[in-house]
Amino acid sequence: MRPKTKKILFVFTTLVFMFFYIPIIILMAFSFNDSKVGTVWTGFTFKWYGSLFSNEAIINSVTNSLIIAVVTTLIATVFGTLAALAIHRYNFPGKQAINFLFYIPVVIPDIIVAVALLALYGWLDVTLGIATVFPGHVAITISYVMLVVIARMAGLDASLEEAAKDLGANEWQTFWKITFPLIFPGVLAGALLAFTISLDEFVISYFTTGPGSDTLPVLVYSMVRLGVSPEINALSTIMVLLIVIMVFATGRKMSVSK
Amino acid sequence: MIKNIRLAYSMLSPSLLWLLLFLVVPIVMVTVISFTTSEGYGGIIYEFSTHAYETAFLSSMYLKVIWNSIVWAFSATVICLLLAYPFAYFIAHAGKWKNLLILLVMIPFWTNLLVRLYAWIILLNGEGVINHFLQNIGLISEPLTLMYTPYAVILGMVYGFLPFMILPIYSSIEQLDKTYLEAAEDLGANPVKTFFTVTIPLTLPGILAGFIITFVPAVSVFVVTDLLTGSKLVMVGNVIRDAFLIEMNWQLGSALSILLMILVLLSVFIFMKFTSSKDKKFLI
Amino acid sequence: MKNLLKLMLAVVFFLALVACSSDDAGTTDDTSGSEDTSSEDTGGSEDAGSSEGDTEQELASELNLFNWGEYMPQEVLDNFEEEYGVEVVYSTYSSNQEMLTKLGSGTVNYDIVVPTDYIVGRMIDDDMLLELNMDNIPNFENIQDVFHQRDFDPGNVFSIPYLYGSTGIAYNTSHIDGTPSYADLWNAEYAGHVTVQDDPRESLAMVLQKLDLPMNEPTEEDLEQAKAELAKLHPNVLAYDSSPSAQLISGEAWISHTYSGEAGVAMQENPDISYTLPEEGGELWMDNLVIPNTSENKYTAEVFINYLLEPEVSKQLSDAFPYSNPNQGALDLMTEEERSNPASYPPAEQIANASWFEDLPPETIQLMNRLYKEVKVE
Repeated sequence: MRPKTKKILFVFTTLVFMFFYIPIIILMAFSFNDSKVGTVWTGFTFKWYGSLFSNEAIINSVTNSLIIAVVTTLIATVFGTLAALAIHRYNFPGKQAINFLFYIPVVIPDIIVAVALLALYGWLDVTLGIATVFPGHVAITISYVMLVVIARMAGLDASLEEAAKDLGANEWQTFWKITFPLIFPGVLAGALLAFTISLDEFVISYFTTGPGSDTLPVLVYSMVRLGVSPEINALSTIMVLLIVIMVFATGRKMSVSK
Repeated sequence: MIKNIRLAYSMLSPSLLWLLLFLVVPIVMVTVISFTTSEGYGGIIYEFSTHAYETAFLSSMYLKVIWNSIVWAFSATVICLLLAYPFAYFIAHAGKWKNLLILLVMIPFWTNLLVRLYAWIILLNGEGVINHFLQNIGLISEPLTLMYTPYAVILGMVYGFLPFMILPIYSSIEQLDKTYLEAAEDLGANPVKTFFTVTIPLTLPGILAGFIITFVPAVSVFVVTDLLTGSKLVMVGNVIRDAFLIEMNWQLGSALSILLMILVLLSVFIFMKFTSSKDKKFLI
Repeated sequence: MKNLLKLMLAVVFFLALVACSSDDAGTTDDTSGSEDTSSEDTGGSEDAGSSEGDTEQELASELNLFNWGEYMPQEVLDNFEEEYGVEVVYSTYSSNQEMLTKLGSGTVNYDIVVPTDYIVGRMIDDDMLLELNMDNIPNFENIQDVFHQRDFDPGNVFSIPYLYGSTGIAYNTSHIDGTPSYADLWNAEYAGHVTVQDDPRESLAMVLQKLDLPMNEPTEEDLEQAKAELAKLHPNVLAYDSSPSAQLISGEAWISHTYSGEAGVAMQENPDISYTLPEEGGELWMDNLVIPNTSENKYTAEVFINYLLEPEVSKQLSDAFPYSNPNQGALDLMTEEERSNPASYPPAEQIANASWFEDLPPETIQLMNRLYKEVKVE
């Protein structure tokens, strides 16, 4: 790049970063504002954080989100990894169609999956609750896990497995001693992705959750609809800070493993 | 060989079963419901009827909602592309800062959409930060209406989905084989020409992936219009949500869902054909 | 390929089984999973209970309450939980339609919902409600006599009044001179500072009144005319919002078509806000506590209803959300000032001029839903 181009791009990039971060920083700043209404600064306070931690609905929704995300991650990771192994290793009739099926959750709008699940539950007379949220989460995250694991396997050296077999290891031993350790980073990345997608997911949860089992994003939505309140700022600040920690922790780990 | 096929199917069966039960069967259900008859105040009678589709096509409103949604989502996607490409290009060439900068994109990427939209409510509303700032420096005397407009919808979508565009483009620029660029320069092409004839075509898979994963959620979103326009504007996502959760008109909601799904799959297909790329790899 | 087919067949069979078993239970609206619970803890009290008095008098551990948004203060729920050891799961809706849709989807089991009077009538006709056992609700005596006999539920077999109120105009006196009418919502001077109820029934009723057309039996032409009129209002509108108290308090909204209690909430925080029923009339309604037939905790629901009718508790409700209170006991506890709050207790001549909502046939409701959306789209 020529220095002049570089300069222009530098300014442009800085502006886009400001566009990203200024709203979030202002949002966080006002979580420490004393005034309940409006956006005039009246003084510094921690009280909104206090009322947040004594708010039962919020604690409850965080618990729900975590339960759903953990269950989703476990199921999606095991199922997705198995599917990835099958698709990567074997040729079988219908592979093309099955591959296509795994792409559906990635390209289809989430609201379609959400209303479809609601229709299914309505037809089966199932009572909505936590148990009706995670099937949808698993359905969309299986594909992501599978794609991540497959991407990892594409770079694998098949000769290692062959060598193990030549040395007399059976399929089972080969899998646990050779294949699994090799694909483990991919599986871990897939699991992490499933966990974050589930934790962040709003639309499917909104349609398929029942009374008392709101997830955190669903609760945030109903709070935001009622208008601006410093408690939402405080809640958002905590959510953003957790993301920052998470991103830097995994980012560092990934660059180390590189 | 047969044994392997069995093994492959049994490894696939948990996922397939899950996707069939919680994705394929439900979508089939929605398709069925879209052809049923409505009973009085709602409720489904399993008798064939095309009433929902007639309503959807005959009242120009529903087609207009779909059209508006496409126009807004498409505009937002194009704006995202225009912002994302130079941005990603700079980051990909930022040397040792590259990793840090891309982590800074991951933070908004993973921050919940609702939280980020809420940030804009604080900025935009009549008593919000921007209006106070402009009034304090004496630029305006009366607060401006910034929220509750179509521009706010586009802004919300751009802000919400920009990271979806940046990440695939960044990864395709980063993986670009530098030797092509050098070859082009050696052959006497100027940088601008190299950019348009070599860089852009080579990063097309990234642009394509970014376009799809930005457009699809944008066209079906309902929270942006809900939160940033005071329910004044509606997108097809709002109409579907209302039909299912408020108006008890599952037939119409289902018909619109099916139309939306066909439309999205069609546009994905067209994007792919259009760029005639065989690379269907999505960046995750 | 054969294996795959087998797999799909297995899925189809599985689904068929689930569907059949739920069809059998369909008449009682139970899922198959709840069969065992109904045999042991509720012991059929749902069926027998209403006519012969409950055999089961034990409180459930949880109560599922579905109420309008901004309608019940948290302390009322907390106190009940503390006193009775029952956890109240509280969720909210913003229109009768939304509540009916949730109930009708067959995917939720609420113990108490709070429909408006004309909807109670429909729910009774559709067999959606359980009869109340008044032995468990002795506090019903606290309700004013005028509300003991009502057309839609003679003898209060199914419903107990919760709060009542009106839909009219909340306005900011520092921006609006005199007493506004519905017609003033169209005033170009207030452009960008008007809010309208985000509910087809409410907003179209308002426009019909403005046009002096019948709000309870509109013809298709009436509704088309109302739609055109609402479309003229659209450019003035800041937001369609059924709980605009925040915008009224912040000063963004100057004139709002809204519930009396929303106005009351805004008046508590912003002294410039006032409320009136418009000269075109305005709408009246009363919300009622009812137990849907999907409830498995009828006794607990009745205990909760009885708790809400205690004068002190009832007063807490209307203190937090200043709607009109039908509870004589609560009224007796109020100060003279509270009893003359113009939002909760408008002058008698204004009330006489207003109209009560009545139920509409399904086609009209669907038409209203569509016309209302068309205003926003076009």
